[in-house]
Parts: sequence; structure tokens; C-alpha cells
Amino acid sequence: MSASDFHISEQAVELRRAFDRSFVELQRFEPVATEDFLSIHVGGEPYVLRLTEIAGLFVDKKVTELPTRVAELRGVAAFRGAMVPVYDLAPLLGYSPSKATRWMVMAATARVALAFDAFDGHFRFPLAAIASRPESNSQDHIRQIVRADGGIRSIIHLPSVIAAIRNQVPEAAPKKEH
Amino acid sequence: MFANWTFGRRLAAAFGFAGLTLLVIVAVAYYSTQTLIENADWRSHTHQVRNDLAALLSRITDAETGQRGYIITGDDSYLAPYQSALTEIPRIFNEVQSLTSDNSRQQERFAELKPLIDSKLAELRQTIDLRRTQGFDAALPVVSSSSGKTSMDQMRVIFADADKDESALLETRNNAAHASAGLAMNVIMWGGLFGVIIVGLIGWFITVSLGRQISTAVSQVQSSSAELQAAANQQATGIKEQATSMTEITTTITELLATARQIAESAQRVSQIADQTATSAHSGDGTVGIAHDSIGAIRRQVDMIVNHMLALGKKSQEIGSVLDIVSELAEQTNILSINATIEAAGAGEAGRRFAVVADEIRKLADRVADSAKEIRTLIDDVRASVNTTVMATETGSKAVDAGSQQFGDVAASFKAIARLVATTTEAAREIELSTKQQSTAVEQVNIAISNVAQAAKESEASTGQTLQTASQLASLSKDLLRLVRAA
Repeated sequence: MSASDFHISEQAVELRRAFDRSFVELQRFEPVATEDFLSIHVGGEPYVLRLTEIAGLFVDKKVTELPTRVAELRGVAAFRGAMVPVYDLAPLLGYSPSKATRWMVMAATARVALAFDAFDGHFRFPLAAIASRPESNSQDHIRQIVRADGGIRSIIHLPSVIAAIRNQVPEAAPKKEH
Repeated sequence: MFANWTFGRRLAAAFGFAGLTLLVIVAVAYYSTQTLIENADWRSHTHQVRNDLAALLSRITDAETGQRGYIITGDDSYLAPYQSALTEIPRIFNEVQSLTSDNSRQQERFAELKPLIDSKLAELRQTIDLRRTQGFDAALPVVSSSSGKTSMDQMRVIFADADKDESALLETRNNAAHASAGLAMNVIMWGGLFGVIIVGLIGWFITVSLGRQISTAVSQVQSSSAELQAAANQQATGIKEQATSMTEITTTITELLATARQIAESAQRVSQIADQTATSAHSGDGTVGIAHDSIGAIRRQVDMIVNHMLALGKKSQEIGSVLDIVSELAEQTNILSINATIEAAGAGEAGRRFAVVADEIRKLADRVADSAKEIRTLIDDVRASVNTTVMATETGSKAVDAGSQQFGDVAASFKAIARLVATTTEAAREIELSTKQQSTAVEQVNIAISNVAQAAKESEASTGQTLQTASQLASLSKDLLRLVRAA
């Protein structure tokens, strides 16, 4: 047995211990005021989404393309028993359309799914790390940023994105709401 | 007509014609001379006849004179003419009769004269006998008679007629002799003149004909002698160059001989080295065989290593497949934990504890995913190492194969080297032997070249002699041409 095998076995043991320890240590620490985010990549740039603004994370969903004049609409897909339109997040943020979008999230406030390039992971940042963009206005999709891991990531404001989608399709949106 | 005649034929024809001319002249002259001699003989004959007639008459007269002296004196000494005449008269008579036997008229006269002479002599004998026996007186009447005088007169007439005939014959024969002499003189003079002219013409013809031809020939001889002189000069130059070349060849051959000896020595050394090389090649062949066996064992080990490494690569690939499943499970677990967290947050306070569990599940999934990524990296490293090892091993296997093949080639090469070295040894010995033979041959060639050089020197001397001869021939041809043209 090689040194790598020992390392992997020790890692597995450590994982098991950490998992068990987490339940033990949960009662001893008072939770710090934090907010959960999903770190993603759109147009090659890192962004984060507030976990509270989304209804679910999905991967490799089959998207059925539809004939449409809306460039951002990728098609429709089935999410938890409902047909939901899937929009490409890249052109909505001012990038060119993505070529491969296997990741997508469904908005919490509307039955709309947003597809993006890559999913980095689930992060929990303290609220102190969150700051507003000074030059942003109510029309911007990026209104806040978060400092993490020595860098700055933009926080996508999903309600404004949903509003922009609704502005592109004003007639269809009310019918879907009702 | 005469252009194709040879000198001999021309000279023979010319001198033959001249000789024929002279022969004709000589024949005519001979005939004329012969005729002249005959005429002279006939003239002598006539003179002889006339002398005999005169002598015969004189003897008859002497006999009568002796008879009369004796009768007058009675002395016998006066009978001497008579006695002499008695013997001479018949002899002379027979002679003159014989000389004129071809003349019938003279024979008739002599036939008429004979009795008269006999009668006269009988009368003289009678009177002498009478004087001796009877004395003067007895004989006187007989002498005084006219019979004696008559017979003498008759005889004188006959003698005169005979002499006259002979004189006429003499005249005729003198004329014939003069004619013959004139003919002979004419023949000699005109024939000689004609002969001189003929000989002169022939001489002129021969001179002109032969002179022209000889002049042409001499001109050709002069031209040929000039060409011969030039050729001799060229030959002399060529022989000098040949002598120089022979000297250079001799020097080169001497160097070649030294080189051949060095080659022989080198070939001997090559033969020795080739023997040593053959021994080394045999030893190397054995070493290569052992190495070839070792290479075969290495190749088998390498094949085994390759198989093990391929198996390891396959196992790594299988681990990678399992790890893909683990990674996918971790990713799905992560998604589920995130969605659980979302649902827990949506559930409010009731979902708070569930949110903690979901968060821990998410963390576990994250760490599993990280470990899976790390394992993936390790597996990829292992697979890369395996691939590198397999490739290196395959390369090594190929190298071993190549090495094995090369060792086989080396072994074959060593055998070939041994074989070639043996051939080289044999060739070196042959070269040594051939070079020695070559040295001997070169020495012989050197001797032959020396002989040739000597011959070239002799040829040079001979060419000088030839040149001198050609010069003399040219000078001689000029002299001859000058003589011919002057002639």
C-alpha cells in the first residue's frame, strides 16, 4: 500500500470524524450573523446569488428549445412537476450568450429558471462582508458586493433580473402569474 | 608510246637501233670491201697472168739466146739460160694455163701456143746437138733457116693477143675496183654520217627523255630527302623526348619499386593485424552471444513489467470510473443539501435543525467532492505515471528489441567481421605476394626501360646518322638535278 492510499484513508476517517463532531459542536457555538450564497460563474466572471432568492439548484436538466424572438430565452424545462421558462443569465448581465449552461437555479419569487456557466459552491459569508455598490441604482442587477477569500464578488440581485425578464415579455408575464 | 618504257628498255631500244644502223652500214661496207678485195685479187690475178706470159716469153727468148751463144761459141756456159728455160717454161706454162682456166679464149691460145713452144724447144735442142756433135757449120743452116723465126713470131703474136686480153680484163677489173672502192667510201662516209646523226638523235632522245624522267625522279628524291630530313629531325626530337620520358619513367619506376616494397611490408603488417583482429572478433562473437542472451532475459522482464503496468493502468481507470461516480454523488449530495438548506430556510424555525443537518451534509459533500477531486488528481497522476511508465517501458521494450536485434546484427557483424578478416588476411597475403611479384616485375620493367633508354640513345645516334644521310641525299639530289638540268 502506497503513501497516497494512507493519505486517502486518513482523509476518509477525518471526514467521518468532522461530520460527527459537527453535531456535537453545534450546541456550544452561538451562530454568527451570516447569509448564505451560491457562488457561480457568468461570462467567465465570479458572481454570487443569495440563497434566499432562489427556490432550487439544478444540474443537467433537459431544456426544450422554443421558437422565440427573446434572445435570452433558452427554452422550457420541468422543475418539480412544473414547466418553467429557462433564461440565460449571461446576456441578462450584459455578456454574450453562454455556449454550455448545465447549471441553473429557479427563482424564489417567480417561476423562472436562470442558467449559468459554472457552479463553484455554497458559501456563508458574514453580513459585515457585504457592502453596497455606491454607483448602483435601482435598475442595476448588481447592487451589492461581498468580500471573500481575498477578493470581491458581485451579488446578483435576482428580483431586478426577474423584473427585466418581465419587461421583455410584459404580456406573457401577467398571465403566468395568474 | 615511250612514256611507260623503262630506262633499260629505252637504252636497249636506242642502242639497238644505233647498233642496227651501224650493222647495216658495216654490212654494206663489208660487202663493198669484199667486192673491192675481190676486184683487187682479180687485178693481181691479171697481173700474175701478164707477168707469167711475159716470163714465159722471156724464158723462151732466153732459151733461144743461150742456144745461139752456144752455137756461136761452143761454150757450154752459154747453155745455162737454155737449161734454166727448159725447166721454167713448162712450169710457167702450166701455171699460166691454170690461172686462165676460166678464160676459154686464153685456153685456146695456150692450146695453140703449146705446139709452138714444143717445136721451138725441139729446134733449139736439135741445133745444140748439132753444134755439139757436128760443129758450128752443121748447126748454122738450121739456125739460119726461117722456121725458128717464124715460130717465134707466131708465139709473139699469141703472147701479144693474150696480153692484150689480159690488159682489157685488167682495165675492166680496175673499173670494177674503182666502183667498189667508191661504193665503200660512200657507204663509209654517208653511212658513218647517217650513223652519227642517228646516234646523235638517239642520244638527244635519251638525254631528253631520261633527263626529264630523271629530273622528275630526282625532284621527288629531293622532296623525299627533305621530308626524310624533316622526319629525321622530328624523330630525333621525339627520341630525345622519349629519352627524357624514359628517364622520368625510370625514376618513377624506382619510386614505384620503393612504394611496392612499402606496400608489401604494410600488407604483411595488415596480415598480422588481421590475424589479431580475427582472434578479437571470435572473442567478441562469444561476448555478444552472452549479451544477446542477457538481452533476451531483460526483454522478458520488460514484457512482464509492461503487462503489470497495463494492468495497473486498467485498475486506475476503473478507480477513476468509481471516483466519477463518487464525484457525481458528492455533487448531487451537494445540490440536495443546498436545496435542503433552501427548503429549510423556507420552513422557518421548524426547519432550522434540518437546515443544520443539511448544511453539514453539504459540507460533507463539499469535502467529499474536494477529496474526490484530490483523489482524481492522484489517480490522474497515477494514470499519467502508468502511461508514462508504460510508454517508457514500451520504448524500453522496443529499445530492448532493437538492442536484441542490434545484438543479433552485431553478432552477425562479428561473424561477418571474422569472415571478412579471414578474407582480408588472405587478401593481404595475396597482396603481399602480388606486391613482391610486382616488385620483381617492376625491376624487370626497370631493366627493360633501361634497355629501351639505351635503345633510344642508339636510335638518337642512328637518327643523327639518318639526318646526315638525308642531308647528303638532299645535297646529292641537288647535284644530280643540277647535272641533269645542265645536261
